[in-house]
Amino acid sequence: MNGKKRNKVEVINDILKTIQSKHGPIKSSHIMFKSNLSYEMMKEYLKELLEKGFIAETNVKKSKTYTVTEKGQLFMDKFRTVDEFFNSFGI
Amino acid sequence: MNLYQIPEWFYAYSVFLQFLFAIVTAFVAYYSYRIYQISQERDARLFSFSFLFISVSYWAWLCLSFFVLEPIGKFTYSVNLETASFFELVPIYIHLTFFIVGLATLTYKRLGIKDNTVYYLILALTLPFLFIAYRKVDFTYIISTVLLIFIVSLYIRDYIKTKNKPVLILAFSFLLILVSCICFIYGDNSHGAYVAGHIFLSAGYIIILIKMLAIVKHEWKKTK
Repeated sequence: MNGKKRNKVEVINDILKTIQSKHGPIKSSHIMFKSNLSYEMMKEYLKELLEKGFIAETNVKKSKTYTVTEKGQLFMDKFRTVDEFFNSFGI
Repeated sequence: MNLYQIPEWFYAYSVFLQFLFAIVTAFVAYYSYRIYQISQERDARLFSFSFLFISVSYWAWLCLSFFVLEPIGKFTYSVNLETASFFELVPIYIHLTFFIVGLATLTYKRLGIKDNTVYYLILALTLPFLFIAYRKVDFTYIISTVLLIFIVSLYIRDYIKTKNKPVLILAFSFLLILVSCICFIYGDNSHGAYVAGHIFLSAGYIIILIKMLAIVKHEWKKTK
């Protein structure tokens, strides 16, 4: 962390990277710690990422686990371009 | 009442520049939509649609210059709105309507309010008056000036908050577009204002094009 406040696309990329780095399903508590988010923020982001189809949710026993989808992978691949575009055009 | 007064020597340049504006705005709309498809961000979609509307406006402007404008007097091209036929009025209305809709969409995006009612309110407060206003070109550019003042001030506010230099550059490019709108208010009875409007507009879009090309070049280098 460099102390600079992350913008929305950076947070989304961090969450996706965290999920992918597990090389398999990951629990929300792990995402919260590794992405450095509060519980409320994490819930909001996970909801948005599910709606966008960037991640998939699986119910394992009583807990939910998450994996990155193809759409999420594409976002990570193009993250630098998206971030540069958002910064350049103040989106 | 004339639409614009274009000096004969500038006619070909104006057609070329209008083609350039149409291409640049279409390119921004296309690329923003690509970014939307990757990020699924609502703001990227709104940005894309606002530039798409503005691009449609410029394509209509180009058609207007090609097919509708005719020589009036010795050195001037124009069209009289009171005597124009239905087919001559279509590109005029498309140009004026889509320019306002494009800027209204951009203003709505810049406001950052996620409530479509606000968007419809902006359109309701601007568009109907275009059809009842006597001086339609003046009305369009006065409304556009007001919307652009909002857009520029919101970009400046963002720059003060984030100190993000590209946002300040973008604010400057929209300021140039704003100045061009002020020039076009006087374009119906001044050759100089019409020419100056094109020059300011070109400068504004060249900055936007440079920014877009920098992003595309960066992406292209990465995929190479």
